[in-house]
Amino acid sequence: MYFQYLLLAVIMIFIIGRLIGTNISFKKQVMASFFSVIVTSTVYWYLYLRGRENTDTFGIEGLVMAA
Amino acid sequence: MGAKTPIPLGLKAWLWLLSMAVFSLISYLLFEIFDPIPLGERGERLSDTRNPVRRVFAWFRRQRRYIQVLLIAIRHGVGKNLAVKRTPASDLKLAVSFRKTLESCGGFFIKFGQVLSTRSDLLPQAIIEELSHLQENVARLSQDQVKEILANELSRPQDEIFEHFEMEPLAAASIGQVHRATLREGGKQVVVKLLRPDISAKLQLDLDILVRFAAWTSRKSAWARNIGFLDLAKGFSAAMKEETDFRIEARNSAQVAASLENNRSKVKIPHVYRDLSNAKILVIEYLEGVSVKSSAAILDKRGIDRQEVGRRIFDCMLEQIFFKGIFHADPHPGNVYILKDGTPALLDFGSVGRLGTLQLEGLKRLLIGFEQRNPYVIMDALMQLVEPKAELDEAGMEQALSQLLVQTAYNTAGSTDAFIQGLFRMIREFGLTFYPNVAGAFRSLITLEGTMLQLSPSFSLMEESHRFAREHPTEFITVGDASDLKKTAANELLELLPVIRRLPRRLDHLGSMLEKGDMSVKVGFFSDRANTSFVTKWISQALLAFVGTAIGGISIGLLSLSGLSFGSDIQIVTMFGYAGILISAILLIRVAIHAVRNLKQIKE
Repeated sequence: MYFQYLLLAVIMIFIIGRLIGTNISFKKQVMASFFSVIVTSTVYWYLYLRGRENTDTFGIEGLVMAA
Repeated sequence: MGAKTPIPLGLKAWLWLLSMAVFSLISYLLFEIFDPIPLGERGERLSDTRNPVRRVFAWFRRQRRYIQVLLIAIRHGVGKNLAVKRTPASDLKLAVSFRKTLESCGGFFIKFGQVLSTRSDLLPQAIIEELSHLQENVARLSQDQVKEILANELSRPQDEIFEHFEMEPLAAASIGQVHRATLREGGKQVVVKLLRPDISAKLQLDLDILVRFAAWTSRKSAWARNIGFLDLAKGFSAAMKEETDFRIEARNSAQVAASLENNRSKVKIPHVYRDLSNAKILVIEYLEGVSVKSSAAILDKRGIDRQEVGRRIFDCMLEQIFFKGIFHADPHPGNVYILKDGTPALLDFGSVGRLGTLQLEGLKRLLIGFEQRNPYVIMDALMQLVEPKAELDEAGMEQALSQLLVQTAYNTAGSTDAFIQGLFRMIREFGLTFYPNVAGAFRSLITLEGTMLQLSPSFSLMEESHRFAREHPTEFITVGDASDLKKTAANELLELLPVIRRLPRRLDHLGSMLEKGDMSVKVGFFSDRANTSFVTKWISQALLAFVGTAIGGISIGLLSLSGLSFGSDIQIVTMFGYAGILISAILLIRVAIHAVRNLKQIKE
């Protein structure tokens, strides 16, 4: 799973490099990519769990209930 | 199209990826906005360390020291005294507060003050006098430190190189200290100059703060801006960085010695033992003598003509400035020695000026113009000595020059000084600046005048310059010998011959064009590449911003038409709306990132 996130970050580095254009700082580009992968993944995971909380035992509540 | 399109599988995943891209762009924009390190002309980072943690700490250290320096300056009333009109009384107050500030800040600030005290061409007399009282109070290196430097920096053990090494230094300064020693090979007496071990970090911090302090002073006062206070600080900073590498001093010394080989003035330049020297240690020949300051009594006692000795030093310096193009940039009394037999010697080549052939020519013409009292010749010479400026009131400047010549005429005592001061003032008033190395040559001449006055109180820079020019007629074409003049005129004519040959044909062509009415002149705003790139850059940015805004507007329209629906029954219009918003966001963020980077770039 971590490899997939890493791959996503690398793709993001490439994409934002192409979208912003020349004369940019590579270090900031890398930091921005990793930051966005972490933040958006967290948000989408949270939304996914919230959307499934009543039907899926994979949610936090489900885990608590299973315990 | 009216029918509802079923949501394709994995659309949310695509949405996630797209929002990731937009969020990356936003993050980049935030990093760029909150990054305090300035960028150079080509977008390169103007910072010396790659480690971000160290950079942040260094930044905090700099801020702390900067605030400390500013508080000292404010406490001593620099800001208050800068903000008032410049009169002799306010100059005196400013001088005192400025000296106290530099004294309290210590380190390189004191050295900066000492360097400023030689700039009588720029600063009022009150400030010069006050700053000349600055004394460096530098702690000497301990014996252990000296031993450690010698052990670390010498190529061989100390005992193998030196038969005797005096641990007590001859002198200590902010950059290093000097010791006397005897070489094992040949038993020669030498002086060993050691660089202070902590100098680099201290230098970096202090010089950076000094330049920022100068920028603050220039912002506070138009007077400081006019005298080029910030440039002075930058020049000092560059010179100091050079002085902390003894290899440069060794090279300078060797170059000056080579250029003065077989010169008439026979001024001694101490030999540098380059095989024993490196960036942190300099081993030079020991010269038995005294500084010019205390040499008068000794010379008189031995019956050596002081004026003659002074002339030798002066001629040697002028030869360096006018003919060789490489000169000692700081000939203050401490750097000019008189040896036992009356031979003058120049010491300390840490700071050396270099002039190009065009600048050498310009300086010679300036001296010729001054002698002939011809504003046109002086004007021509000045154009070779100042940095080019697009819009220059040449007629006005020629008028000002002729006024200056009249003001300083028939006043032999101190007229050169008045002329140089007036020249500097005029250059400033017309918004011109001398090339830094040319300003260095003038500074060197003014410092030299002070040194010469120590040796012979009747010394006159103007008279001696006249004598020097008379003694070198072929170089200056000022006087006398008709055959020399004829030769020079013939040479000049030969150079001009091709142009003269083409001239009648060109005039005829121009005349016929005028007759026919075919004469046309092209004036293009975009002929200047700077204008073109400026306009192109801003138009492209404005266009991108406009397109981004337009797409954003259309997308919002589309979304409002489709009722902002998103879910399993998403319409194609909604998809276009979201895609449009995405593109618009990318374009606008891109424009913002480039605008922020452009604002941060330091324009020299």
